[in-house]
Amino acid sequence: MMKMIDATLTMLDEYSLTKELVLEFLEGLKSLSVSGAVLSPKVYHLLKGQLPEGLVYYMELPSMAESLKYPGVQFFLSSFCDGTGKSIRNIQVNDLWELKGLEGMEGDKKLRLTGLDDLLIYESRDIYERGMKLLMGVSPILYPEDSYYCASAIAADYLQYHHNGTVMTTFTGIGNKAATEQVLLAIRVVERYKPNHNFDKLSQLRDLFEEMTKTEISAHTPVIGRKIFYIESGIHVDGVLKKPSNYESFPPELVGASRKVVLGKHSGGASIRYKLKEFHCEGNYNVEQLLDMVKRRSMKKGGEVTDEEFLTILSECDEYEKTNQNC
Amino acid sequence: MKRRIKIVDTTLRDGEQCPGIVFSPSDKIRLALYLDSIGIHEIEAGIFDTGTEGCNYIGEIMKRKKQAIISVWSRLNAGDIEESARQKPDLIHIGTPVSYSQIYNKLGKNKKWIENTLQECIKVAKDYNIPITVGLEDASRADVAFLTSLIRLIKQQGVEVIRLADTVGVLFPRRARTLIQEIKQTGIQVEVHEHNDFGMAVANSMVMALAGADMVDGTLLGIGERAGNCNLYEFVHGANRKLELGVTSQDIRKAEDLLKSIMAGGVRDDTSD
Repeated sequence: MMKMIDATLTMLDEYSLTKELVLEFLEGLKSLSVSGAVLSPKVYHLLKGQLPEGLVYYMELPSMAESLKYPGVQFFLSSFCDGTGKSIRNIQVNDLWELKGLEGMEGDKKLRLTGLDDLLIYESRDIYERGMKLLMGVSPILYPEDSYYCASAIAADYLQYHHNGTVMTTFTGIGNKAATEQVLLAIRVVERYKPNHNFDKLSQLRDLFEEMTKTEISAHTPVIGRKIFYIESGIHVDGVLKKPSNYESFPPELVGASRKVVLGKHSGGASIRYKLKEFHCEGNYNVEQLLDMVKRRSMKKGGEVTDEEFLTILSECDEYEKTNQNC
Repeated sequence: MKRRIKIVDTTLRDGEQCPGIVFSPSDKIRLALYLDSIGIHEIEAGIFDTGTEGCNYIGEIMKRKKQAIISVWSRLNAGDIEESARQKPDLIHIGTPVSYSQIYNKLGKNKKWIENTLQECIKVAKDYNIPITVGLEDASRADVAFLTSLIRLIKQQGVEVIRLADTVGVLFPRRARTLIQEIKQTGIQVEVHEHNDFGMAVANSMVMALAGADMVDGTLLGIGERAGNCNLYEFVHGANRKLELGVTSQDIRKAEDLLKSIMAGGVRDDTSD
């Protein structure tokens, strides 16, 4: 069974975290069916060792000698493997060919490979396929880096090749890593991983992450952006209203989001009819005329026409009609 | 020697379809001329539309550009192709739904209708002597047998380039690579157009370029519908290690700065073109 381990909390030592926020974040990970979480010693101390059940805990430690200080942590990631079964050896791989050197490590199965930023940037399919075979032979926890903006794709590709594989990721890809939410949803949609599982807690996890890091996640961030299900262009609105899957690879509800039709320069008649229906005004207006007014308003202000502005346009039309009737 | 891949910028067309983003005709001219100056091979400047922003800006870009090919996107509709042709761009791109989902659920048509209408559109463009590319929309969810038969059909009509559009961003690198290899067997030139729904647009574009694609689409800052398109800076940053792209990532960054300044520009009032 494929597994995902989230290492977000190792990236947040510089932030002012509270125990409550960390506990909530770990609960959020559990709800996404992430199998494990990596903690930093600082986060462990913040939790006073009270680790919520339902996740396997990992910790990066330079020396295994200190591992006894952290009861509840099942596995420790370090440069050495001490043979106790609790340590996972961490190896940085900078080139696909370095994987060949791992072939002889049959007895030492517990490995985490970091790096491999350029795994996908090989001209020859053979080189890549051989690399992937080597990876599957070693079966490490794969923790790809994102220097070439390919980390999520590498992690997802690895899981697609290796259905018993394990990847390590971070929320939003913080720390130059693959993004937990991207890999999770890609595998869910394309590979039917956990087909009956709902990932609607992702939106809460996004809000929590923003609170923890005091940052704002871009509205168009894959999977968790607040506006990824906003639609404006005529062709797309028409297609989505006919059947959402025409232009959506997954329904917004799956990730706790909702769809919104936005009016603007690219709107078509379907959007106007949709909005008129929303405001219970169907049949009272000339759609083509309204569309023209919406497009011009959008061009003039350089952005979307809000619902309030659309209602103002409707009032202007009513006023115009009234004046003309009186003439 | 590195293999040459042509970069197609679609910021002004697909990028602008990001809800809330509006470029005025003068914005479009500024951005297009800048993209032209840094070596972008093709600039998709907009959609045939006389109702909103007019069409004179296309003529202005055509007049002032130095080297880039200026293309206009059109629906699969002979009337729209004719109107696009009247703007005299270098190239018309015909958006053609090819997945069963889009053919049957969106258009309410069938495969035969797609084949016939596309041939009719190709004929109109030929009459105006304007080259075309055919955009196979939602190709990543389409039946490959239909894709290849359609490609063979339009190749006989003189079409040399098709665009494989991963319209809802569901390709994985493994499938992306295989798809290119399957389509390249038809002998057609392939342009790839990736969306970023799972954060894989750059990686897929890279894999497809290395697997034999001839052209790669992208937008400045990765703007576009939903989670956007292939981010041009990120693509060029990685791909220029292995491929000749005709443009540098530093120049793309400067174009992004121009785009940011335009998007932060506030109220515009040059709607009449």
